[in-house]
Amino acid sequence: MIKIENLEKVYKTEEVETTALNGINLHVKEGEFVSIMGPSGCGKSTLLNVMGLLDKPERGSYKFIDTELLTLNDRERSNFRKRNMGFVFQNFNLIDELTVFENIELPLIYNKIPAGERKKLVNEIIERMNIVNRSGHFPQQLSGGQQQRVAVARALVTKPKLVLADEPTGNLDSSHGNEVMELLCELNETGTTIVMVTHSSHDASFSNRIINLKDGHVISEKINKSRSEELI
Amino acid sequence: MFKLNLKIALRNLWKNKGYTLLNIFGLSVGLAGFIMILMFANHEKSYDSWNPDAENIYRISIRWAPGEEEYSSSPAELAPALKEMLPEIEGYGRFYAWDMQQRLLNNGRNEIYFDHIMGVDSTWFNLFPYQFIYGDAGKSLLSKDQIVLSNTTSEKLFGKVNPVGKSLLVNTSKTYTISGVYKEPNTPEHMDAEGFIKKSSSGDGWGNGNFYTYLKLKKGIDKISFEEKLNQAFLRLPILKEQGWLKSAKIYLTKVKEIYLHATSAQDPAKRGNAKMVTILVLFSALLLIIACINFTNLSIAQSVKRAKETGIRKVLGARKGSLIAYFLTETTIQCIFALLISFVLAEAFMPVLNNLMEIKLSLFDYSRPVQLILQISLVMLLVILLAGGYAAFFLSSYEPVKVLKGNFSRSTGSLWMRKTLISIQFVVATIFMVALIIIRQQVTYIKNQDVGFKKDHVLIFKIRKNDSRKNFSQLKQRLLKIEDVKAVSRVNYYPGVKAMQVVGREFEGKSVQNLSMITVDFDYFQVMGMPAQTGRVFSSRFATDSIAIVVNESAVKKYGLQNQINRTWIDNRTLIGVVKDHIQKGMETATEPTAFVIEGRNTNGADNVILKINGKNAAQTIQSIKKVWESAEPFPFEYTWLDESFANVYAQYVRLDKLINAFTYVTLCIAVLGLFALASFTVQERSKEIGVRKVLGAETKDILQLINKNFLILVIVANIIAIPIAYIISSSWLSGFVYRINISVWPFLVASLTSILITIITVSLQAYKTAKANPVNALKYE
Repeated sequence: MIKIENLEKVYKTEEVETTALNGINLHVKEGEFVSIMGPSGCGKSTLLNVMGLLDKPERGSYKFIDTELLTLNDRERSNFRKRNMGFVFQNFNLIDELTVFENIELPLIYNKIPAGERKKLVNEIIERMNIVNRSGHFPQQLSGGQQQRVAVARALVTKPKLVLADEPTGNLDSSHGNEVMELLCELNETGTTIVMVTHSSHDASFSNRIINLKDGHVISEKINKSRSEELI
Repeated sequence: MFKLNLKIALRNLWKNKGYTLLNIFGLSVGLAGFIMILMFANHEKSYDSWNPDAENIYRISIRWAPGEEEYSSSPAELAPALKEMLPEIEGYGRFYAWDMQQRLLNNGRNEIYFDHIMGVDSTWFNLFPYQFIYGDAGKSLLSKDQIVLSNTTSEKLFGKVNPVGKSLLVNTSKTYTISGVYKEPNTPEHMDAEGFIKKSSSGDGWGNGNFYTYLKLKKGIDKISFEEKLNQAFLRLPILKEQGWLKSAKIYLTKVKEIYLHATSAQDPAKRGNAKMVTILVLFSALLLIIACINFTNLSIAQSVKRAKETGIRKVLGARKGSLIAYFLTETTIQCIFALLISFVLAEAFMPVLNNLMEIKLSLFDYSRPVQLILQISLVMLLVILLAGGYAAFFLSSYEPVKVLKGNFSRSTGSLWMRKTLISIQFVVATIFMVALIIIRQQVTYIKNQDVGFKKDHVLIFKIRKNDSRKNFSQLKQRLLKIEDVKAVSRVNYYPGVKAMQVVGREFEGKSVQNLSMITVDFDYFQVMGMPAQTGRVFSSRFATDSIAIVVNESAVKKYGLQNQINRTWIDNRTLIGVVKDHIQKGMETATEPTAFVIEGRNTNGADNVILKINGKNAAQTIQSIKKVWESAEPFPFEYTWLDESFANVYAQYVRLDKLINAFTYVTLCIAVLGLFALASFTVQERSKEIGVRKVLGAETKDILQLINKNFLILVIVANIIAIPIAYIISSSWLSGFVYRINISVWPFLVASLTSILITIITVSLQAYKTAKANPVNALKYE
């Protein structure tokens, strides 16, 4: 589904030039759950941002089911993103002023889904995520685990082909972290492709494949047998 | 500690140069406007304050019967009679109305017209103790051939020499000896004076009410109770036994310092300001300053995100709230001082504009009462520092350090509410200004285009100087009519736009005819003025009896019930031959007075203004021809004016107000936009994460613009809802001062509201666009 070739990304400040991605090649199959690991500053978040069309690389190619995405303009990128991708962040990035329901509804609004259908879709996902009794609450009234559930619900409500998760358990204690990881696994089992950036090998063990980055290079790739067998 | 505060404050200001500049600039514009208006208001309130005795000097005015107008003139006999009876009166001084005329002064070398040589009592300088440069005030007006000059008049004629003892030929006939030169006072006076002579009349009994009487009271006399005593004493005067009608008169006193702004009498020869306008201007400039302060506060808070960490660290290191407030106030003070310095420059630079507009001569660095101004400005600065810096200091110093340092700093709803209120206030004021501007402009246009009841174009006016010219006017008229482009010639005493008026009271068939304005004219007056008869006819030289006829206006017909009086005898045995349409004589504030027109005769005032209707095409050449005719008849230099130009005086002050409000509006809008810009930038900064999230979820630029604009639009709409009734009340109260006025329509409010909304959208969008376009990743990076 995803073919990334020779991706290069350089950050420039006044004094320093940092190469965040240095010739990355990466393929992700449909239905796969890929973890990206590596030390701080290795470029894993940058890679995720590029994959989510939030950042533009200097060179390389990024094909998503045969569509080259790097040649799209801002508007096309934005449209492609909102139709095909969902995001889960370490710090949830829920909007404090909106209720759980409204937070989840937001991407549907931007996708111009009619109100009636929005309501149906949101209620479906709320039920699935087991947060029905929280739908009128504001994010601050929820625990970290619940907030991340909401964030996952928001990422999924548009039924994206790809979910990008950036350290989804980074701000959670281990029991809540496990909950979220199990949720992602369930999703993956229903066919959603997931790419996750993580520090935690425990979290990575939930995925089919683990890619290690260092200094902008892919240094190793490991198939997680227990999970990939399930996939097969 | 102070030194450290100062150092850090200066560094911080330097670090945020852009904001500092906006802060200082916004404030200095507000301050400059305020200082200029302050100086103008001081000037308006300073009339006659040079006089050390001003507190005890009053002018008498009289209402001869209840319901009539109050006149500032009085009979000459009044003051001496009152002084006899009332020991509180220390002295009095009078000037005579008929001595107020333009005079040609000739010292053998120079020949110059002066308008303000006053005929006064010899005691005048006891009440108005001018500082004499040459001569002795006490001996300067002992005889009728002495003349006292102001230093300016003296310098115009003689240069900088002592002219005392030299002689002056006045109006080419009478010789005066200069008996003194006084220094013009450093504050303006309600009566312009260029020199003084002894008054030409000692009073012709109680019948001549053409004197202006000033009383000097002993120190510490209460005005109200003395006014009562004065009226009681008046009723005991022997003259009242002979002339019973005087009994209904009531005497009023006006403090000499208050004549300019607060006198209430009609037909006043004194210069009169407009207290309402001074108040409006001071109010508006104060609003402008408040807006500038609000702006300052908003800009400071807008920076607070950047300053939060610094404040947190200071708190952790042991700074207490008080010392933080002191620190932030130091920063504000520095900016205020810079702003003040810039405002001085701005005020001095724009003072000529204000001077020109208000016909004054003020200069910041050459100000007559610097101590007063310095005190006022210092006080204002203190208020500005507290007002502008106070909230920001309080706001910034109350951050909770732990939260801030953890990066958990988020907006507190309280401060957000405060800033929203502040920005709303700015827009309330801006909308009020815009509405005021539009309505004042509409009204000024309206009065300019108002049908004034006569045709003011191409009417030239000059004044007859020699008595002979008036006597032989028909010859002069014939010669003037021979000039090709002169269409009609006549004479009048008070042409429209002249403040003075003869007002008579008569009796006709047992009915009282009071307060009739009487204008003396010559044949053809109505032709020159383009005022046709509505009923009957106007004066014509073909009818010999017209010289003792009378023409009235519609208001007179209405007031005295003259509908059936045409071609019948009316007051003074005059036949009422016709009615003309009401015309505007003095201004749009009052309704047209009942007015009668009579031909100059033995029992009328003299009509010494020649008015000519000319063809506008070859005006310059026509004027040359008129001048030639003048020179053959008069020894005086030829001076003329145009009717439309002199009539423009009746609305000049509103044209000025229009221009001033114009300036206020633009400055206020600019400052409000600055404030809005700052708050928008602040909001965008605060919401950058939210904007990032929304973008990631698929929001487009227009969605983000809508999102940010929505909040501001709500503020501006609320501001408009508050401003509109206030603006309506202010405008209708201002308009109520006019008899001829526009009806307030919905347009000014609509235009002002839409303008503020449009300005908001543009300003906010400019600021939000950057963030809306920015890469959301930057905003979403972990704090």
